[in-house]
Amino acid sequence: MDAKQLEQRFLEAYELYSDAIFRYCFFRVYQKQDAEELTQEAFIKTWNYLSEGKPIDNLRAFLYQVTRNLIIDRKRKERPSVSIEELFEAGIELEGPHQKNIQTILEQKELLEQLDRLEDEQKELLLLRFIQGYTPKEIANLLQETPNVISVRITRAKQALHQLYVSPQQTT
Amino acid sequence: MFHLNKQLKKNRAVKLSNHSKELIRETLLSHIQEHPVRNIESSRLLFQNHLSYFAKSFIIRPSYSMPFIILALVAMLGGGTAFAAQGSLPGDLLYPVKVNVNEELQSAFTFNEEAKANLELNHAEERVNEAIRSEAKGKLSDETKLTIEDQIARHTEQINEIAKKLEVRGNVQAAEAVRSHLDGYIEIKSKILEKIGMPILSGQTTATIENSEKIQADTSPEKKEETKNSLERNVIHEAIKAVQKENKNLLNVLKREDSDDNDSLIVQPIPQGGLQPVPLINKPLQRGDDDTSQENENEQEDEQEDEREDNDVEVEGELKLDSKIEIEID
Repeated sequence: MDAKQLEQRFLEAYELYSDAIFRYCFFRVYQKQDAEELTQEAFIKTWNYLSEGKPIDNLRAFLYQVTRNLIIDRKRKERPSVSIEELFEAGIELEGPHQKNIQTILEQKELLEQLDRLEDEQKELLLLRFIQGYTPKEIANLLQETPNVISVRITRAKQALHQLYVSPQQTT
Repeated sequence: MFHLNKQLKKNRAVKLSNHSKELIRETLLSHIQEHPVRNIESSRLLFQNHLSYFAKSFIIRPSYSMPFIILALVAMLGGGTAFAAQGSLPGDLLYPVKVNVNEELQSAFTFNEEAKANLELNHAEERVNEAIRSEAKGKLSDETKLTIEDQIARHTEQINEIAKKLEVRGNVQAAEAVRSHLDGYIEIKSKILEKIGMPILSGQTTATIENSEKIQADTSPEKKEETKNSLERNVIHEAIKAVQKENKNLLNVLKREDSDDNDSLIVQPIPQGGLQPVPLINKPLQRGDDDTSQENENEQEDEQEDEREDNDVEVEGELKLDSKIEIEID
């Protein structure tokens, strides 16, 4: 493969995966702009890696790994976390075909709030499974685990989330 | 709980706005300009998931017939088998692997017509070599002769097909080159073959090959199909047997062949010798601090490699080879 082809494939990967990566970032940081920056950063880092001639055999997994690391780094820098409440007040825009009626928005808000109360690991799994729509097998592939482990963890995460819905609200 | 799933799914609609997407793409493009590819030699992008995307456009994929499944088996159980097959002769255990797997693979990944013709010619030459070596070993039986003649006929037909194709496309020069190479081959090799009792090429030229459909011993299309099928069936059995024999030892040898350049089962560009052995080791992604470096400790590597081998090889309609087995020939 020559440089031109590499570039082409990379750009095609951008077309393929940019939305998914963005969505992932968004449900980790809850800020549209941050999510966009993170997405860009992830692809840039990936290109740098490629341009140095290092091989990548699973690009999607690689992108996710880069993204996750970026998010971890960012969280470490201890930015005051934005509460979901503020987000929704600011008029968070979730582009989508579903009805933007009050009920939907409220439901969504509650969902995100509860989701946020989960441990990072569980939050991520639910995000990958239900929002990104990956199968346990694919997730296993991304996270370098066995599908079984992933399935079990997803079930537990779902249970945990359910628990949160049932238990009293935490004041943020 | 079902209600939770539904709720979560509603968020799937979240994606980049067209505007933002464009902006980021622009940024990426200029970044690429400023940071061009530096080390193209070892740069290999192996996109598994990509292939299903490409299927919608134009990429030529090898057909998912038996030989490909066998390759997956061979690759899974021991890459050294393919390598060992290269030296085999008709009648040897691994010969079917050489012809139906190694050579098939080579053609499958050659996209340029002229290069394909070249490849077929190489294969045809190899057939002659096999004949000579068999003769020297006293193994040139009637059956062997038949096998080789059969194959040579196929190769020459293929080459002619390609020449015709090139002509039809208007590339007369290339067609001529292809034909003249074939003529050269026939001229030289026919004499050699005659000497060992295989007059198949005698008196042939590209013209006669074109007009007479067959220069092989048995001519009916049914027989062709039959030999092909039984050949394929045999390939599977033989390959599995042979590979199982070598399995344990090879894997250990390959594991120790640690190399910086080869992170997965990559088939290197093929020189005359055929496929090269490559480590089966795959270096999984690790969570580095800032950099997602692909460094790894050996123990984890071995462990995960075993795991992956058990779980992951599938050959489905879409080439979702979920393990990190990817084949790229430049």
